[in-house]
Amino acid sequence: MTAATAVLGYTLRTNLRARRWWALLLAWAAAVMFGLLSFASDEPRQEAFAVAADHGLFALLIPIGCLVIGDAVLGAEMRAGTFHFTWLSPVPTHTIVLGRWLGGWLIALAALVPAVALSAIVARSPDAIGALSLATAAGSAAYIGLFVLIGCVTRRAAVWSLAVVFLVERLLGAALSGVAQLSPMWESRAVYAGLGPDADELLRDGVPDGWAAVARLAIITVVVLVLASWRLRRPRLAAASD
Amino acid sequence: MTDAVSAVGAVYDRGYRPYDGIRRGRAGTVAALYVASIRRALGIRRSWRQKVFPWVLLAIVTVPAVVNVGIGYVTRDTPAEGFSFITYREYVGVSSALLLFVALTAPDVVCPDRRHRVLSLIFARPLVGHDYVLAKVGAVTTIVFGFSILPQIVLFVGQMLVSDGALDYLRDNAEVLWQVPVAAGLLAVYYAAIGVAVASLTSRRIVGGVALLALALVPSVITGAILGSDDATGAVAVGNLLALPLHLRDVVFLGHVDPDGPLGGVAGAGLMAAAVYTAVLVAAVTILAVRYREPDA
Amino acid sequence: MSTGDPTQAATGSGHPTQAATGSGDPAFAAEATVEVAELSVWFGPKVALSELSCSFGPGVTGLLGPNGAGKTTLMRAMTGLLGPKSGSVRVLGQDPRRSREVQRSLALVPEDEAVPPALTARQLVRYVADLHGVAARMAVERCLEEVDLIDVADRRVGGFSKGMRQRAKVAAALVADPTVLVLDEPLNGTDPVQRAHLIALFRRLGAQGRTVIVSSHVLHEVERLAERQIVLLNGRLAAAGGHRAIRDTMADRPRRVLVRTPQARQLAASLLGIDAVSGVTVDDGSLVVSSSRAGEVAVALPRLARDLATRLEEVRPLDDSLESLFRELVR
Repeated sequence: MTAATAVLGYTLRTNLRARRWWALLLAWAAAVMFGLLSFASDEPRQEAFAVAADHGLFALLIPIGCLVIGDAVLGAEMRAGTFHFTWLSPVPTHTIVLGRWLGGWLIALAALVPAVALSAIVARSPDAIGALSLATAAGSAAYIGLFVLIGCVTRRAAVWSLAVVFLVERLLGAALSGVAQLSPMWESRAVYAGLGPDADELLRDGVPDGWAAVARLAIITVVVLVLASWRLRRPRLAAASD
Repeated sequence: MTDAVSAVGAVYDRGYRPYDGIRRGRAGTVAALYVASIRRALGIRRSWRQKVFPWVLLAIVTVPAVVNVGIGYVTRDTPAEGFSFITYREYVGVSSALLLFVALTAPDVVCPDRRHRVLSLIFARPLVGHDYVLAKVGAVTTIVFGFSILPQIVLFVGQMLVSDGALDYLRDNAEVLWQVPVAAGLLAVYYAAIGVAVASLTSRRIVGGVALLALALVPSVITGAILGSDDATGAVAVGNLLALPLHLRDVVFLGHVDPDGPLGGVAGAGLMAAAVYTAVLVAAVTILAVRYREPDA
Repeated sequence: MSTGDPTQAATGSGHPTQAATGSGDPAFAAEATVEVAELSVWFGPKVALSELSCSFGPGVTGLLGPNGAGKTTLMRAMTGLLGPKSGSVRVLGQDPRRSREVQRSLALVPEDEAVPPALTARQLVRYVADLHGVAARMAVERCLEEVDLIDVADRRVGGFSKGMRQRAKVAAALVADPTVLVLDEPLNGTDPVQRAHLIALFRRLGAQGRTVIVSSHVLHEVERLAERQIVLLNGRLAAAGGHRAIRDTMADRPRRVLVRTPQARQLAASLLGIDAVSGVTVDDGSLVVSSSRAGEVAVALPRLARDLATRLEEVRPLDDSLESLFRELVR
């Protein structure tokens, strides 16, 4: 097995544990609930679902799900003190980062894409599944990369991750389109806005939508992964101890 | 002479000496835990890194007060048009900053004890489960209360200073002096209880913070969707856990719920809100009692 | 340097197994593989290491010091987990923090108990083997056998006892076939049988010419294990070299020797007549001689005993061990 495959296998093995199935069920239950919410509105079915997806899926489910997964694949291990098994090896840091990110992304895809699809089915908007899945996949790629980077950079990853999602993305991103353009939350929403059926309400000036948003998310992913590889070359794993 | 001096000698045992001082008992233990939790959450006596977030968030929440006072000063002679000054009632609110603050503070105060298996050490002291809960919830309540009240103080003092007569202002707005602390207190107790209860379910801070945010935001989304639009009213709005303390705030300030708010026009809205508030607090306390009944749970 | 299997004893090695302490500063090993130069590490106001200079070579070297002396910090700096604030560390000529290649030859068994709880022992060792490009499946099995974990290899390490986790970490370190092996308190939590086994293993690895650096508080075992010691105190080098040689340099602190004989008091009186003896303590049937020139006393003692026609039932140095040396150093 090559080193890269080994890192990927390790990431999947350490994070896919029996006790975590309840988290998956919770995510799916939440998605179903957001799908049902679309019936509370008087608007036509697909437009109502777009709004429910906006408030529920893109604003809450996807960021929170990716936050927990993205921290678990790297940051949590650095804080738990088992990262040295991986770092004390000749494997280049970019391979380590890629392996961890890919593991996290695969887990996010397996957890979140079925959830959002379920949401669309429950809302009786099956046409939305394609665009929704694409938006989720692209958004989680960028999010997982972002949280991997935060885990590399600071021990207080919980604080910074929550601050980025809820202060920077939700607050600042709502006000400033300059921030929204760089935000996985807004860009994944914009993917759906451009490609989803009757989702025009979600379009926003100054934020690229549809396939342009997918490209934007890919760029964000690459940038954060490069930064993480660079940062990991000089890790801060030790605190004062003896 | 020298013989007398050199004839006297002693050996001093400078080794371990047991503590002979006062032992403060249960109350002292609870007080110490309370103070230590506050210090930890605010980063007092720790490096600047631990201080950044709490104080930055506090600064963010104080900004509207400063802006209001500033504009009040600038327009003291010519009245400002189109700018509605923030009222004290509106300022006791649940902003994203406050929510984030609780989501960071409550897990930080409770989760590390569980994660680092310190709970059994703590319970080896003269302390029982509910003492621990009291100290922790008390600490978070105090911090959130301070967080809510400090910007209000800035606003009040600032307004007093830029108004024509400070003492007149004080007299005219005297009821604010008890309304704001009561409303802020209700808000603080509510969020502290929920925050610590949710955080007690896990040993990872990030999971605790995320769970709390989800618990606050998801019902808000649901009730918003059911009501339909921002102007609609309905009894279901009482299910919005995020904004629940705000209805009680309105009762404190106005004597009844806000007629323009989502519960406006609903019969018995004030009582309903109070009932749900109490129910949420009872649920939180129950969770805490169960979680800390067994020291190693 | 043996290739492939680290667990079998090398045959006909022409490599030095003892760090040369004869010539030059005993803090520096001949043929050094790990070089520490003016290394300083601090964490805010706490200084962990202060301008430390020493080196390690093939064979087993003990790293000793009281808690807080800087041993773990030095070990983390040597493997690159920690960056020096000033000074440098070189392993096989390269900076372990910059060069990913030198990590191939380096392995650390940290003191920290943490292991990835979801993996089995076999999976953990296999993972580290894959990261180092060790393809041979048998390498994993041999390492697990060597640390006596082969029977529990398919159990999750999360459920292991402290000693078992320790051995799992050692197995993971060994599978990489390292030239430099750094072990931070590897005997922690192991029972006496496992300890004896591990000590024999480390001696074998040292005999193969690997650089084995061991820190431990179990001093009488480090004494058996390592020919050369580096002693740290408050982040600085306190002593270096073989422990008896170190003891000999502490001439201002006299050696003490226990002598058991029926005529203790008379022998004591005779000993006091010798110039090299600085003091004698007498008890029923035994006496303790203090001297800075123990060699001279050793020559004089049998002669005096013969003159008194008394039997010497036991002659034993009381502070020849590493433990007593350590106590002297950190006093």
